[in-house]
Amino acid sequence: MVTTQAISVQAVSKIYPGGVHALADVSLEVRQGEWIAIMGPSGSGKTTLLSILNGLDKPTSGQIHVLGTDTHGFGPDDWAVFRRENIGLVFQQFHLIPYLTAVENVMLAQYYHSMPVREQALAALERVQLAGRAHHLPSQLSGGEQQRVCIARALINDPKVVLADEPTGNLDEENEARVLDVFRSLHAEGKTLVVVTHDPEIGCAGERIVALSHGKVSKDTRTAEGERLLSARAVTGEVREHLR
Amino acid sequence: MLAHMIRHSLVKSARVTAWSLATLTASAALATIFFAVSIDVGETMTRSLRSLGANAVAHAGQRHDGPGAPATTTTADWERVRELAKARRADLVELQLRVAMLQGAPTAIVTADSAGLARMTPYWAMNGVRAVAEDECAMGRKLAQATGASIGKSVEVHFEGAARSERYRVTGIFDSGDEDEGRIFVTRAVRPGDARFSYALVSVPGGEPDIDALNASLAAGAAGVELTPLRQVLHGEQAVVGKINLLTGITLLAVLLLSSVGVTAAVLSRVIERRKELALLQAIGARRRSVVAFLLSEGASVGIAAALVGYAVGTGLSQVIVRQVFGVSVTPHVAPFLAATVVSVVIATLAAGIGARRALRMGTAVLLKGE
Repeated sequence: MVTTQAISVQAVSKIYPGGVHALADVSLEVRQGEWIAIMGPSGSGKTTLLSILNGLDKPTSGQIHVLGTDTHGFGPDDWAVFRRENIGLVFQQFHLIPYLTAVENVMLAQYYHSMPVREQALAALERVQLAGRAHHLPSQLSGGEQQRVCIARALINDPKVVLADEPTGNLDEENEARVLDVFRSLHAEGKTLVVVTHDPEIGCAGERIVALSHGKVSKDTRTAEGERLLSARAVTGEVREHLR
Repeated sequence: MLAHMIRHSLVKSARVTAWSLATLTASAALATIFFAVSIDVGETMTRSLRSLGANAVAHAGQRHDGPGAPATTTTADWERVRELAKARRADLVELQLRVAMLQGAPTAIVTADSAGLARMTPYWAMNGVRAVAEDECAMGRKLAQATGASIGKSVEVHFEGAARSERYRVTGIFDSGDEDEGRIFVTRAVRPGDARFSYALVSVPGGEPDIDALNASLAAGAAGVELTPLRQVLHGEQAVVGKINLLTGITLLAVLLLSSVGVTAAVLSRVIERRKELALLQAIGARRRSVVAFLLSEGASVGIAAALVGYAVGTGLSQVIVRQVFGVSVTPHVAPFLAATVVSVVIATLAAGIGARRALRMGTAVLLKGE
């Protein structure tokens, strides 16, 4: 069965040891190619939700389907394989290996996926306008540059879903705009993007904003961009129907 | 890629790498010394222990001239015996045993070269001094007590058929723990005509197999003697060598245990320092076994480097030690190198394994959380 849902979250709860309810009965659907922003105050469960979506954390209850795959019963290794095939991760703190150069950090994701190819890694850096800094160590790069290396690493294996946790949290305006540009181009390519952010500008750049509060979905609204795209899709659908 | 990462990660954690390398090198060097000394010096130690005296007795053998024929005692060809013993680096002192009357009782009088006898019986607890002149004798304690002989006094013995008695001044009374305590030992030269040696004390380098080899060689050479190992002495030597090896082994084990603890602590501290990096590897698609393989390979690399350095250092030190203690040099062997490699690689990979186990227990999501 071909599914149009990239991510399906059904009644997911997460209770940490000590009884802290990070998520309470959260349900969410994300279409393939959709760009959603998850927003909310600190401690609302945004990062926990993202960690559950990428398999780095496990829900206490509920079901998660990613790209039509039921991840219930996935162990750490199943998730590792699934991630490297389908998911690109972007972190707020970049998490680059400090003793590897920019291009080597990108190649590392290739190494665990298939085999490292330097030319492809360089092309990924070119895409984030960092080809000129390919042979620099992370300590020789600015925060914005490090984040773009992180994005290049997330994209090197051509994932269908990109999950980003506060990707612009540590960046200045200029670098934030660059990262946003990269996300726009990924969206235009049909990648599914789930971005956890505090930044309204980033949130509004997507199609939907899912607001979390105290571990629950408090609001799920379509952005102006989302409305525009919805209309465009509706028109495209009508045209297609008409042409049939 | 893996090799590249290992190299750079080791260089980056230079302090911890240096500590691990130093500890493992010390362990590898100790293992090298232990095995080099055990293997190469075994023979040297046995040779040194040979200074403790005879470990076999050569005496006339038995011959059977045909099936059912009674056994007859062979005539020993002592020249031939000396030749064959020399070929196997064995020391040999011939002795002549005659029976004489002392205070009306038959008594064994043993004639031997003074220096040779001293070499073969260094374990005698001598009260007084050994006999050197022809009119001197050393007497076993049991015989001295039975006859009331004492140091400085003379004893008179009479050989059957001899025209007159012979007198010897007692210079020393000894305890030997065997039948020699009932004998008199004199150094008088064996006269022509009675130059038939009765037996010989032999000091063979090595253990029982070497004595068996010399025995076989004597039989093949038709020397007319058989060798009987002095098992008590041999077992004593083996026990000494065994105890030395045990003591060294226990020391080595203690050092290896301490070094394992040191290396494990260093590796664990590095794993904790790098927990985010290891979590990242899993986040970008590394299976748990890949992370373990990475850490184990890193550990093994340090272990191999330490083995090479440790072997070189250990060989050098064992040369110095062995030269000081035994006055010989050590020949390089493969076994100490293998021992050094196994010791350092096993310790390093075990420590890395414990580190990997610890690393995989940490919550990946918590480690990568961006706060």
